[in-house]
Amino acid sequence: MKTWVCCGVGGVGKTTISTALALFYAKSGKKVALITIDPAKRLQDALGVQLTHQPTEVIPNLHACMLDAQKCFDELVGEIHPKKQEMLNNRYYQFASTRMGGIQEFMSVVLISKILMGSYDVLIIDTPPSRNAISFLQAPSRMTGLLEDSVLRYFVSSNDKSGLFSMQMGVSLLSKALQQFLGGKMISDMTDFFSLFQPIAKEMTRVAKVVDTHLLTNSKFLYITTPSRPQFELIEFYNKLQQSQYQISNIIINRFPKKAILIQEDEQNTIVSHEILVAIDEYRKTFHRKYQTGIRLKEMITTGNLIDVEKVISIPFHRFSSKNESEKMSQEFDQNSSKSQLEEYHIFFDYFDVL
Amino acid sequence: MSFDLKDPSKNTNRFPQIIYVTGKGGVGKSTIAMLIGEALANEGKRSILVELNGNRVIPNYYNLSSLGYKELQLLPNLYCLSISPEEAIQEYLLQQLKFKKIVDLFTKNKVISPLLQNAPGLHDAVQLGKIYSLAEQDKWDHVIIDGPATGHGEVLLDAAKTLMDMTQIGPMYQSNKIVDQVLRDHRRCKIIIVTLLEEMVIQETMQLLDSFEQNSDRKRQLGGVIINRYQNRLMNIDTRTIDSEKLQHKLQAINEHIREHNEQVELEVKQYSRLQSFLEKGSISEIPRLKIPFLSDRASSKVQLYLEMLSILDQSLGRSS
Repeated sequence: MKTWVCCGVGGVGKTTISTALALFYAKSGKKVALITIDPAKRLQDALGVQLTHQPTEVIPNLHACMLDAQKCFDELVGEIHPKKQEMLNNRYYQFASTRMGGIQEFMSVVLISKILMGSYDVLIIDTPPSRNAISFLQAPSRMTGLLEDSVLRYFVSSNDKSGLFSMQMGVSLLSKALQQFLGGKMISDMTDFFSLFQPIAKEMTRVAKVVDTHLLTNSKFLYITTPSRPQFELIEFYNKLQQSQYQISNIIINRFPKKAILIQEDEQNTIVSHEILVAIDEYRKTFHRKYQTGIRLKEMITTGNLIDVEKVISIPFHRFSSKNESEKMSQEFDQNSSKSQLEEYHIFFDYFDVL
Repeated sequence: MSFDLKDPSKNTNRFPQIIYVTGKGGVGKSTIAMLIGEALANEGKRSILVELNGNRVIPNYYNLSSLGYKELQLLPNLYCLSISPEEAIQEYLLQQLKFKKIVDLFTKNKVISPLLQNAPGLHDAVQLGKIYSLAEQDKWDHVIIDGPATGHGEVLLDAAKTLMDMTQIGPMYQSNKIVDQVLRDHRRCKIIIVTLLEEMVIQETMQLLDSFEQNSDRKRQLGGVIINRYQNRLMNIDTRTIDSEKLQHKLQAINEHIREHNEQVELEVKQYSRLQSFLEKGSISEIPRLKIPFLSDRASSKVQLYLEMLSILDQSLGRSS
């Protein structure tokens, strides 16, 4: 299953581009699965279906789903776990699943593994807008590290509730210190959670390995950015990916600004009106400044020795048309309206030909 | 610098000293935090910028190779510090366990280390603890936090409370209680939200404002909303007085560009109204607002910017002029 992983920070148009890419492949006859993370209402309206964590058909050849970390985990626990309620009631689980980003990334790994079992030709993954773009990709190995048998064994409380303390001297001394430092309740909550977790740990580790392998071998990484993002962001991401042995294969610079139309000096000299000259100058300054941010980014990429990057694609800024007020008011869902909204994404297709 | 979590100073007349800057990813938080720092420093207030996310906006702007756990001077009266969770945990453990060798045993242990890595909110809480201890030193008039993006931004602020809920008893509970008290005291800590006039950004900003409004502590802490990268309309060009046909065509093409630009500005004006209406409806209609223009050379208008920034800070921080 050919996979495109769309990375980038929040706000660059990742979800829009992932959707357009999915449509592109679907229209060319491929069977496509699209995983979106946090689609805006505009996108949900355009897709025209209620997105859940189960793939739903949008148009023939295109199935889309949305990550719902809580539901995903509940299902996972429900499917394989004998003591589901105890797990869900565990305070550590409640904190970890609602407040901390970790669970969202772990669950996206689970969701991906489910899709991989399907019969799609192409998978497009829209990554979570997390603290840093790389944390999503590190999720499989973090899961494995945490669930490693040697670590989990310490938390097993079969007969002995204090499984944590029954190990070698070194660990038990540390454990006592840790208990003092973190407070008894927290330790016992975590201990309970991990011992409850053990039955599904094996399955999670297997899933993580499958996804990790797939990301390393069958996937291409598409990095999406805009000229207003600081340049070091791309470099840092590129380096972090290299370290993990992944590669950015293509970079998309979204919302590329328009080049200013220049008035030559001899032309300008024929203009008498001061007002016009001021207007031209303001225009030139505004457009030139914006355009330069795009050019500088492009130059930085091409001269920056980013090996393995195949193509840099610049997509001009496009303003999506908004529904007029009366349509918005309508309670009825309108099939035609959604179709035409979806067609608007076709403007991106020309840019995807090179991929 | 010691990581000192003694009881907060009894002096509650201290003007709001901690300024927590947050907002959706990509709006320009770091830049605005720097601007706030520079404006205050310029006024003679000894200020420190605290970076939490490991991003390079601040070091790049001041031409530094990197920021570290030690204070670095940027300008007269303006210093900077980067608090990585790892270093903060090291320092906290050192204080609790006294000896580095024992701390190493903890952080390098195959069992304990993942526990520390995955204890929810622990990394955030130690960062807050570090911020607290900075604020408690007599050195700083202001501590400006370049906070994480929304999603994480609110979570970080609540991290001390999370740890309290998780631990319930013990030294961790006690120390987080102290930190939490100060960080939700509107007399000590104010929140500045940065936004852009884009549909999705305004959406998230309204959600953020709403969630703060629901909490009586946070509501009082809301210090202001700063609208970044504000654009002005461009003047249309009257081509009637132009003789050359070629030049006329060019100018008409330029007018087309200008028209598109102004359409974009219109959308931004709509978003601003959207934000205004939202604020009017709620109970936070008094919250000060400031627009920062999209600038290429901030240097030329810096003095003007400082003045505007200081005036919003006067309102947000309740300072008498």
